[in-house]
Amino acid sequence: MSRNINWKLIIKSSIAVIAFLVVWNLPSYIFCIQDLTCIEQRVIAIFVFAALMWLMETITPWATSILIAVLLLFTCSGSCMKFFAASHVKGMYLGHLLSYKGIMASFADPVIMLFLGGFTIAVIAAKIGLDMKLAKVILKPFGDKPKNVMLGFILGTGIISMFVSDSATAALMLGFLLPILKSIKGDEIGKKGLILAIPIGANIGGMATPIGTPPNAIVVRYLNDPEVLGMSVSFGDWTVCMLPLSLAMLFFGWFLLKKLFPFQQGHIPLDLEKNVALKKSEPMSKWKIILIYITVGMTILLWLTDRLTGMNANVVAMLPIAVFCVTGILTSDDLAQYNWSVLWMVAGGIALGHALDESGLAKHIISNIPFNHWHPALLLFIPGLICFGLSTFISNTASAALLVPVLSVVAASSGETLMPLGGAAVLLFGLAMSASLPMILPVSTPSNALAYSTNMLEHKDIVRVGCIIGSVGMIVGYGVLITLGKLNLL
Amino acid sequence: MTKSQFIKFIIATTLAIAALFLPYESMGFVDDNTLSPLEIRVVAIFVMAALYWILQPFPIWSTSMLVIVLMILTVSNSSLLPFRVESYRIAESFIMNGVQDVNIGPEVPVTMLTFKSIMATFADPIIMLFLGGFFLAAAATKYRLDLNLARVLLKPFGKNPKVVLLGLMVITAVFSMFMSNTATAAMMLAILTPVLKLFDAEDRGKAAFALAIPLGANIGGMGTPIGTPPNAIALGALQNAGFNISFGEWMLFGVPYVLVMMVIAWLLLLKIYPIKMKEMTLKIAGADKFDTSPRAIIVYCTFALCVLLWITGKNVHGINDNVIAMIPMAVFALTGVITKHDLNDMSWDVLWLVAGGFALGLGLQSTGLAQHLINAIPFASWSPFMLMVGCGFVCLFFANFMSHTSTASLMVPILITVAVACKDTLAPLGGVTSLMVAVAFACSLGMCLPISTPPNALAHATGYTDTTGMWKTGLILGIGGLILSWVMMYILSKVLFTV
Repeated sequence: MSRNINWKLIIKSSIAVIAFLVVWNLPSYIFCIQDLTCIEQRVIAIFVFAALMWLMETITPWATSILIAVLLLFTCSGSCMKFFAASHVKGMYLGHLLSYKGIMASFADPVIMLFLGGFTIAVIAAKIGLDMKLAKVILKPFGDKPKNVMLGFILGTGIISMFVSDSATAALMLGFLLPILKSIKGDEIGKKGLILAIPIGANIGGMATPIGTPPNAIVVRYLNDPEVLGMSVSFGDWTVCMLPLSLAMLFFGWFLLKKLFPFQQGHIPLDLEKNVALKKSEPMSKWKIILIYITVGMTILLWLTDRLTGMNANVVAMLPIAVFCVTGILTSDDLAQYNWSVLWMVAGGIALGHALDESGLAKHIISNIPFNHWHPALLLFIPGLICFGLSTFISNTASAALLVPVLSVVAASSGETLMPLGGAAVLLFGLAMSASLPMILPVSTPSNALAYSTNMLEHKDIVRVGCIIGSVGMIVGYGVLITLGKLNLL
Repeated sequence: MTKSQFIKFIIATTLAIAALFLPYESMGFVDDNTLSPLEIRVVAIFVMAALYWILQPFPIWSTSMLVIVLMILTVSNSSLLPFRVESYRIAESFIMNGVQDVNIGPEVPVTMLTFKSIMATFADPIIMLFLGGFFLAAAATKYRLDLNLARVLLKPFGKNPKVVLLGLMVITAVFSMFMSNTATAAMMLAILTPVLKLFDAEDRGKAAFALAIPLGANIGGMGTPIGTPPNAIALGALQNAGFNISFGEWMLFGVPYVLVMMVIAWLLLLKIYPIKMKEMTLKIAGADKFDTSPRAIIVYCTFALCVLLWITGKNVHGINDNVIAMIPMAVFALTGVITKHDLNDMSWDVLWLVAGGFALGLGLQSTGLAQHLINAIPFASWSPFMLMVGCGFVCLFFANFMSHTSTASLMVPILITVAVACKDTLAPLGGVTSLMVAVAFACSLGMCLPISTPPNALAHATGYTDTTGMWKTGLILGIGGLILSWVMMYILSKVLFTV
């Protein structure tokens, strides 16, 4: 045990803790929210704390996540310390205590199940060398030039995620990418670029179609709702507007990654088997190998057709787990290879989103913002920034679901004032975009977390790429949207 | 899969499928009590799970996973489209010419379970309790708290082998009250190795020492709610039904019970395996003094804090036991006592196994099946004595052949509903709490065979024990323990619990 004092850690954690305590103890009128309850103020404090801890990477992100869950449980849940459950504090109402079961259930949220399914497929595929074979097949059309392979992954991930859930796409494509990464020897900085291609592709690809990611579907629903905006945005309309933007961003992502993480090696070695020693466990019988092929194939097929079968992507991800368990292909030793800490990291973000929602805080805040009195430019950009900020920490579906209903009403009522900037539709399209773009932290989206779970990325790599993609995306995106709006193309 | 496993698999699967096509209408499930398609599917999944857990064609945790996935695929709102149902027709009974018959009656709506709630069983509060226990155990092992405690604690027992044997059992029991039985047994068996080396080749006393560990671990686990899964499961069911037993209250009857059982076990061991050795000196390698690094001190403090909070209970500080178990998770993760590698090494399969039981319970409750079953069976007309004794023996029987946890997850959800329904008739015998505690203990008492519990298996693996001794002690302790638990709960209920 080293006795060196880690000043960096101390400073970072004191900033977070002090911010937490300040927000916790501020008099409630500072927040400018009518009837703010104690629980709500506590959730704000915990949110600020979590955001600072994650942003500065004070401690390993999964430890932050557990800390968030424990803080929520101890101060805001129905099983909190007696001290915190007093019905009035400083003249404020306590508010609605969160259910402790709900907070704990964040650790088994459907998204977590998707991760488990993804990990299972990856572990099993590696066990029989299926991943190597797949990698070979994938590398063929793109050759062995690293930048072409990277482009292939960005575009492939992007295009699939236009139709399939972002996280499922990322889990799938990461499965294909991992064997390629394993075959690259040494500390190749380019590996990071290849990994980051997946979350970039998945997050940005999702913007292109109304079904690509839930925020889009929410926005389309409100745009078309005759009682709100009453427009008729079809699948085609959306895609015509957003596909070029999405493709442009995908190419930008490719250039960025090429620049930031240049490959030292000129080509990726193709004879994969020679480079990677397959784990020589007990040889698997023929029928088991066939079964693995069928199961993996079925899972991919069901992911692609989740709208036809009625099973959502998260449920589909549990199929391979069950099949492999029962056939004895997945043993309890294999479970130790899963990246449990990443699951818990994701769970922290889910718990935070759950708290914002269940405490009523999010709705409370948004309904207290006087959007109607704002200057059109502010009205256009501020909600986008709020959405961006929120979905950096909680799920982008949750942020869109919080903001879109309120802002669609605002947009409908102030359509005239927004005309010089392209009209009401720009505001809502912008929201969908700002929900999809944030990928600054490992917890921002499941695809980021999956990329982080490879253990080959550092926190700062994700932050750097995420900030650039986010800011460029927002600027270019709003520029394009306003132009389109002015040309009456939206 | 071996041939016998395959045959078991076929038998179990056939019976489970057969359960789908039973004529439930003619078995009394008519009118308001008609089973919906969802309930019939849950019956089939239940039959499948029970048979798989008993016959074990697959590892038990795999069965749990299968249960959860099958439930999501067939009874949830994200099931395959052909499985979606919105309504079903109830079977209307009528009597014609003195013969009872059924007719297709009016349509009633049915709601699918939410897939989220089924998935959430993986993070049930009880699972968090387990995880907290795993964190404590992993940290204790890492900083040699276990070895050091063993050294310090065995010292007072002197050099008489018989007393040391008792000491070893007591220490094992104390650890297993707060840690998983399996982890305790593994740890204590590791400590035992130097002790066993002190024996002569033909001294049968070795077997007594080797067997003392699983006995201590199994019995000790009954002492606290977190000691062993059946306790936690029974406690969870009791809490859900509105009967609160705090951590401290459980220990109030659990610990004395454990002590009595321990003495019986000790005498039995001495009888079966007489120790020839006259004197022994204990040395445990690698444990000279307590680790005093900052992290080790954090571990000691957290351990103490948790035990303190668990013992004082919700009434004092307002935090329930499951939430307390998350303190070590946060503290150890923050301070780096438990790293992500340690996290990967936790017994996730055990957690999944437990989750399967919870999912099954959820299916029984949420589809209304449990209620319909209770309505159809005249439990209320059973004498409460029969209920107590019958449940105890059924659980004991199952627990000997399958995992204690799966026995409990199988029996507890049904029995809690039965018990709540017969609350009044049970009252003279100690009420719902009595029945459930007896059931939890019965589930923990199955230890006749090496496969009965992981600690037995571990002891068997040392090669020092024989199956005859295990069988004898297991049977005597099982039946004796059952009777003891009834008597004790009967007496305690008069004093401690409001029925």
